[in-house]
Amino acid sequence: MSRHEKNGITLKPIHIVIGVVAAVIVITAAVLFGLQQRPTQAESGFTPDLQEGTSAWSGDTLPDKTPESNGEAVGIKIPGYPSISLPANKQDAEVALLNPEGNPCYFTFELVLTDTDEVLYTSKQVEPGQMITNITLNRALPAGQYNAELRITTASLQDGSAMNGANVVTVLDVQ
Amino acid sequence: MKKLASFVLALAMAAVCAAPAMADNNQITQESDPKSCDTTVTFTIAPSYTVTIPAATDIPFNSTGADTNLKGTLRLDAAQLELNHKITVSAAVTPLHDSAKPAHTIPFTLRKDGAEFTSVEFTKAGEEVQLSVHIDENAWKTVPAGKYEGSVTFEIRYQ
Repeated sequence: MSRHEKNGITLKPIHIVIGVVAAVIVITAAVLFGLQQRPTQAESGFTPDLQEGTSAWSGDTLPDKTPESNGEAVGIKIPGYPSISLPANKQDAEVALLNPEGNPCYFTFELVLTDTDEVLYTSKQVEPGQMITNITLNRALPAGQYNAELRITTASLQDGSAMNGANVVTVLDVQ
Repeated sequence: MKKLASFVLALAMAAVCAAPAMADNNQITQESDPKSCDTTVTFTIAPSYTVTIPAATDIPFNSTGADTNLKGTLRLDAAQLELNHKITVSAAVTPLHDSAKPAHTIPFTLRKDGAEFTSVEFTKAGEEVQLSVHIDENAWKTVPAGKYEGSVTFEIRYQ
């Protein structure tokens, strides 16, 4: 009599196979069920037009005063740009245009001269946690200071619907 | 739970952040007497801030009794401002409209503490205000049933 039989347990190889198969079936069904519950962008018919060449933000951050909100994002974080430095007489510039991590939407950036309403730059959509580091202006600017706005329009991550946006008043410091 | 702890220091601000300056002729040689000198180091911190705006709010149809609070407050989350400077936030609204029938619109206004919201000034991180949506009763009567969406664009100014 085997040790198992002595303890009242009779475990045959077929029992192990049945158990493994049953576990795989249960796990697979649970995963598929869970995936079906989550609304996907494909189901909403929305495909974002993502900006190429973005990178994840890894710089230092200011102390966060955000109150506890049980993890649910209820607002859109807008980064402040009191001034933006640009190289004189060059169209290519290094500027960090960030969509803070945790935002519920894509950002589209538009840099506009407020005195003439001329659009200097328009981005594609940027995901939360990603930033644009290099931009190409529509035209080079001579040295000087220019009143400008960084216009941020947003689109829901879920279905691309427009959410609230912001115009950040700034000064272009071109040197 | 992971806190939302990511705020921005604009790279451009950080790039011009530090401007160390040293006095001329800071050399100590064997002949120097005394063998010490002063060096001045200047570190300039460019101002930077993050403002959180309300994202999206569902408004009950025909809500005319009490104004509907926007989901989330308008607040200054993080800030490193120059002395005597502030962040001023104002808002412009896009009326609620039926995307299928753009001619059908429901105008609304923003309110703060029951009065029309024009602007708010923030001077330090953590300051916040609760805004609400006000729709006149007659506005509901002029449009048919449907799905209406509007938006608010906040103007953020550092001054």
